[in-house]
Amino acid sequence: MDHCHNYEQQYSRRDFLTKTSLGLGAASLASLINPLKSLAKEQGGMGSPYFTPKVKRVIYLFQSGGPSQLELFDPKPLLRKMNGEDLPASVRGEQRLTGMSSGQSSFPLAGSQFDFAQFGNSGAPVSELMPHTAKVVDELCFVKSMYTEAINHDPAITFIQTGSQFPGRPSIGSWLSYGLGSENENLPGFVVLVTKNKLGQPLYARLWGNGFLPSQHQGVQFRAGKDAVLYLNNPSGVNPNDRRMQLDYLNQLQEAQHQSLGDPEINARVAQYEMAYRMQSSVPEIMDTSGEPDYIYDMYGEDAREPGTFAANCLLARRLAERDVRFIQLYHQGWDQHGNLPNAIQTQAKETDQASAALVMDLKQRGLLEDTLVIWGGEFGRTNYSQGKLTKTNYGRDHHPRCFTIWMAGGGVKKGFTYGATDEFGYNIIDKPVHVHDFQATLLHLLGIDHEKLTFKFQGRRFRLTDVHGHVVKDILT
Amino acid sequence: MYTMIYSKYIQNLIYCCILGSLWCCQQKLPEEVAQAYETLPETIDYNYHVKPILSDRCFACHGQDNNTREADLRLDTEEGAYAALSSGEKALVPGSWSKSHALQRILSDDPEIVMPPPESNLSLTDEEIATIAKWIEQGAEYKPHWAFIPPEKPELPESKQFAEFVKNPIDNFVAATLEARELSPSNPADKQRLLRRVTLDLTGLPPTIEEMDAFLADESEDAYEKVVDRLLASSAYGERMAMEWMDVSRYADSHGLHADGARTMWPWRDWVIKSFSENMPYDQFATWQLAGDLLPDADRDQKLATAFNRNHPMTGEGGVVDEEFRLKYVFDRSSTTATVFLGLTLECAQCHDHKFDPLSQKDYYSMAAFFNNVRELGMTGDDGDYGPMLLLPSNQQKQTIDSLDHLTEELRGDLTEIAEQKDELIEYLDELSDKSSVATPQPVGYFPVERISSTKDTKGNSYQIIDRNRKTRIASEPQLIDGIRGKALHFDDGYETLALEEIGQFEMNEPFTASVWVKPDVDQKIQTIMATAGAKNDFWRGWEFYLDSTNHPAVKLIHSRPHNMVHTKSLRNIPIGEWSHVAFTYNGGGKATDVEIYVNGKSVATNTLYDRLYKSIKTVGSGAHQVINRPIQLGKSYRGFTGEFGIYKGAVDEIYVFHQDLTPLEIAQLYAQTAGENITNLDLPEEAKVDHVLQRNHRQYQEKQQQLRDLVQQQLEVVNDVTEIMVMEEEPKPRPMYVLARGAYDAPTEQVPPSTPGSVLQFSKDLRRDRLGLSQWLFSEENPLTARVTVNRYWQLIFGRGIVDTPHDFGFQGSLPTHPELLDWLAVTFRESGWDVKSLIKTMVMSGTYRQASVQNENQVKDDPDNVWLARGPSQRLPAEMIRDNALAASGLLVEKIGGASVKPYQPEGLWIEKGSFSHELLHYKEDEGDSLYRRSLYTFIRRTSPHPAMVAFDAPNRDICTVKRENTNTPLQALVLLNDPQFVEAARVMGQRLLANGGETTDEKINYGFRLATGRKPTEKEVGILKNLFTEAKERFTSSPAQADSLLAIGEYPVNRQLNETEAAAWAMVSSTLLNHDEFYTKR
Repeated sequence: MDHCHNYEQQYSRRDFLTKTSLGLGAASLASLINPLKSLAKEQGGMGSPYFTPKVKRVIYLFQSGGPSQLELFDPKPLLRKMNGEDLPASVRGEQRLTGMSSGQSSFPLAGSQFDFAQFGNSGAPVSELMPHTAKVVDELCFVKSMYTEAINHDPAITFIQTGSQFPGRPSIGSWLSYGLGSENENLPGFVVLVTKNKLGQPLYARLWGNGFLPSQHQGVQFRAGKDAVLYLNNPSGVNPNDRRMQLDYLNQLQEAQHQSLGDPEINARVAQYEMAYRMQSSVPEIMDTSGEPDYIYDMYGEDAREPGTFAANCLLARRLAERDVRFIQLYHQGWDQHGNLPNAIQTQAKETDQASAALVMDLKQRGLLEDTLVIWGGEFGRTNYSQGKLTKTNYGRDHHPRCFTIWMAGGGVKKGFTYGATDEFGYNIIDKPVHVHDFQATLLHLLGIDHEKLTFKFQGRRFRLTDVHGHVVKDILT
Repeated sequence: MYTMIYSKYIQNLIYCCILGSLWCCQQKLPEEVAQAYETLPETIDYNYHVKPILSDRCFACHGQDNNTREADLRLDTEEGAYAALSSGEKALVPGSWSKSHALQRILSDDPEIVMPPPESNLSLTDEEIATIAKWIEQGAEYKPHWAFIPPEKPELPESKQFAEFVKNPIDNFVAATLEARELSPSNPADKQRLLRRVTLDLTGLPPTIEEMDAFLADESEDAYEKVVDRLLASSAYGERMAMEWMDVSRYADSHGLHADGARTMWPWRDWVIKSFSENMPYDQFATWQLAGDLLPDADRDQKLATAFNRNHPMTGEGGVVDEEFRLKYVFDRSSTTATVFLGLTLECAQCHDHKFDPLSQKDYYSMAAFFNNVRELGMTGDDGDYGPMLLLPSNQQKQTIDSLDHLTEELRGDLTEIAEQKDELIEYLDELSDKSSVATPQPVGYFPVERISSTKDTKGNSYQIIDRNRKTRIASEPQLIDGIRGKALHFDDGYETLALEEIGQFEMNEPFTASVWVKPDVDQKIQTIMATAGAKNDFWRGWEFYLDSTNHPAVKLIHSRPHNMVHTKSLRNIPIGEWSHVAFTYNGGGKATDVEIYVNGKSVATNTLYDRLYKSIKTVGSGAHQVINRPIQLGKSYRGFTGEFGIYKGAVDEIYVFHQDLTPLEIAQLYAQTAGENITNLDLPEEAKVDHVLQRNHRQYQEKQQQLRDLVQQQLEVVNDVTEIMVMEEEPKPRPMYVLARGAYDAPTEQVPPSTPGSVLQFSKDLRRDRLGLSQWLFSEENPLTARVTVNRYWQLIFGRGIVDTPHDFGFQGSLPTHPELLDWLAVTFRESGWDVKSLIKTMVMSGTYRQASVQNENQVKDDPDNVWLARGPSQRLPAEMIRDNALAASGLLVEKIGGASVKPYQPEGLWIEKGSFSHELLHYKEDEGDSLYRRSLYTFIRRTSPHPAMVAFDAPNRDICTVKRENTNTPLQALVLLNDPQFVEAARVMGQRLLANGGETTDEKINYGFRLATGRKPTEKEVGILKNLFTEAKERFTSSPAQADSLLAIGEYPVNRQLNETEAAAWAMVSSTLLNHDEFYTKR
């Protein structure tokens, strides 16, 4: 297979990339965290997949479970008017339903319990659940016409994160790591942050996995708590000086081994150990937000002081973006509101609204927003009818693949802009549908990658993030 | 339209002019191409040189898939390529590249003309163009695909130059290639490295010091062979071979999708270990796994082996479309089989014909048809195993079960015999004839359904009840309407239900009866009358009385769907909008015939849909699956995920539940008393009366009946605890397989019988069209792939790189064999040996090729970094499992127990719960204690969505799909694992203790001992010096801060040896840790 390591090639590439003052360790670092700066281009017979990028990095605030577009960003007054009436068969059409509501004897339309108003110069409608997001709508680009093919979480989240409904493909971040390498020499190019103690629909290691790409392209999870990266800390009883001493002796042994065996792999290993040693200080430094000024916590909310919250992760995402980490993937679970939606969605909104908005404004103030892409959204939308009994104060919504809303902000996408529209039932797209593969193609495009050309040959076939589909949504680009 | 045709015409004219001019003026190849032409081999071979180019760049549009074929041109066959194009030209004209239209298009600079077209993002290099040109010049000869021609045993090439190097036939082939490439083999590896290499390769473990010393001391000629034989005979060999098979078979201890709950698969893993250890012939090993259940009189192990094809991921996600996922599992089996045994990427033909290989979409579904005939579910529960299942009783359990079975048979015979002796009953029957009514037993619940009222629970919450009975509960607002007698309850919308508490829990051996009047409003869907049966996460356990979609009353007694239940259905249905009396009785015997269904007082004929119940039917909760007394629910089932909620629309009245099986007369009585009838007017058959008498008046019958229930109970007590495993089992009636348009589960087109790809080898008419036939096809002498693919995979295992470097792909896009004749020699020899795996492996490790030193000189680093031509011995970073096992072995921690349930060694906290909380059994990773912490990594619990991070760091796959080749990467995370993972830190400190206590007197001796434990060789003087300095410095540090020594020694569960000096022990721990990070520790050299 093409992705087998060829260390010799790496050496030459490494030399090219090395910042000379950092010596061997740094050199390997460049090649290891950034080992394939050009491997994607080396695949035989391909034209260059690259052109001038609009953004250098992505922060993807993934809202797992399927946030209800009808309560957040896509107001449908008709649903309030028709509250309790059955979903007309003509609207539903051929749409298959999940087994969780398809057995119901009726499909009563459910109007949102939350009020909407228009905000900013763009006049974008946002519900009362998202007051902070409402204030930054002029920075955002709403896509109201997202749709997917899967109707259940596992296939849907796997689809939007890897381009296939079933396990086995590389995730978006690993494609980017493979295609673009990393800009940072002390941190991985693809970092994952998960809100702690949330529960909800499961996450899977495959969502940030490398699939068939070499495994250094998988996302590295940074966690709140003492071991920010697994096995990062020295064992107790071994302080950094001891470790340095140990590594120095180990290097001597490895050097002797190399002299005797001639295998360049041994040197590559030494370089990895040096990289690991440096990560032991670079990662804790990133994770330590104690030096952030109070006004930052005012922006992100008090939650941001509590490590592992969504707000704290948003703040970390900004710090990682500042250090040019290529792809920062957040996950926030808990949006799967089949029942008791009016109650549960308030908690979810409260946990995410302020920090999401703050992240956009913080990046803007630092001049980072112009070359960073922020994405907020889940794996599908929710039905306009109630799953379970509709009462005056309560209802639930089932999964709905036919339409959902996401927003993006940052370099390359139009500000204060809304793209696509759904019908007055909030069930079908009536204008400018955006398929998951279109979204992925657009994301790659913003990073300067032609999604049809970033391929990897595996089992005889050239695979892409977008399979054999996807069109860049040009109309949302600046 | 006209314009379009016109412009096309003009365009073609222009092409012709341009190409015409090309022919006229440009008889030479472009300079760069001409230069490349000069460097080409003398003879250009279609298979080896040309097809890889054509396949990769041309076949997607000019290959066998006629749905995407452009310009009606096929380049994958001679006929297609030589045929005249619509323009009159020919794509290929043998002997003349300049007349070959295809080459002219390739050479063109015009983006409108050039091939491949720019929008394909494909292009050809100068060398590739030259190759095609030269091939055309030499006659453009097509040949069948090399891998599809059955291998023949080639002559052994003689090697004069390297005669000393040649130890066995492998070396003849390798030497010939080396000679041809002007390379030379390396010197033999030194004994220490060779011993470690072969011990690692054959057992996954390092040699012990004693084994090293013995080998070093053994100067006999066959010293090495004795070692090889010893290793092949060891049980660790079975474990090592099984380790690789786990990747191939996508083995895991969890389901892999959504909740990713627990499954029990380890008994199958143990069977694999045993099979390798006993050197089961590979054809048999494979046949049992593919079709063991179909062998004549299949025994337990043969059935157990088929768990291989139940290892695929499964989902328990509520709401999925069952058929979509069921097919996914079928496809997984079929692709896995194609990958492992055929080295084909068959899965590429799921949505359309294969783009490169001669595999049609029809081939894909024909192959899948072999695996489609299993009674299984697409959506299962979050945790647990689902049918078909195999019970794995111990010998003692098996004996008990068999004898109970035997007794049950006898007893059933006795009961039938008694029932047939009707004469004895005449007296009673006469008595009965005069009676206008019979007494009915005391019910455990009777609900006349007359009123709705409110009450409060102990917490003060109010809820609605019927008949002032606090053990009832209604949800939502069902209406009281006029009933068959007094009032009745009417359900409407799926939210209205009635629950009857504390009376519905019956065991499989307990008789019970349910009786109710119903007036259904509809007959569109399955409607639950009354049930305790649960949903997917409690195995749907319990019982259910329901109306099918045409209102036939039916009964299910469920332990677990789809494989452990009774399901029987009335042949008579009931009308809409009228009151009917429906009832069923169950006598506790465990069979479908032990259930009787009644309509309007009379027993009705039934159709048994499934009859295999062998475990408890007591309802359990989801999650921990502990027994809970789930209320009987009316109005709706408890199912909530399948889209089939069992919503009953209509009325119910006069509900009875009995903890006895009522007799036909008693049921008639229940009907008659409400219908205002007299049972004498019911025209009941004689059998009804006979049964009544037998059940109520015949003491012997009653006793036997009770004995039967007791036997069922005894059986339950044994069987309930018996481990079960998911296996393959054919349904009696084959399930049809269709070609699915675009691969979509809901788009069936043409029906296809089970078959194999004809391009590989026709499926003989003499073979059974089932998995057993498939297996025979795979291992037939004419099959060109199976033997080659297998020897190649084992070659990769030993040499690190396959002779074909794409072990999963022997198709057009796969790599070509570097040593084709060697591959064929191995394949035929392997087959002729009776598929003897040990002999194959032995041949490989006995070869001179294997026994070379792996030291690389500068030229090798430059010219053959991947050791393609085998001018040195194999060398590679060890797989994840071996690295950990070696640390355990070096420290002495390793517990060499074989088999058993998977174990949970150290793992950072919280990794499972942060992924999801749906699986109850796998909610939190709970580390094991004691020996289980130190088992070989083959036994480490594999959870697919959260694989062990230390294993993943070293490229262990997560087992979502069949993997026949692992990555071998080098990352900083690997360094962090070896330095900081408590497993390795503990190993280092225990190894430190070992050096201190047993490593000899002097520091030098201890270092020597440690170095040998970790790397298998003695250190050089220089290495001793370095480690000595490390020891001295570490000791100084720990002496100045003894607390540090303390805390380092406290890591891990293994007890600290308090006899030893702490600072010294800690310093030796640092030395050991350094050794466990040494190249030669984690690399095979």
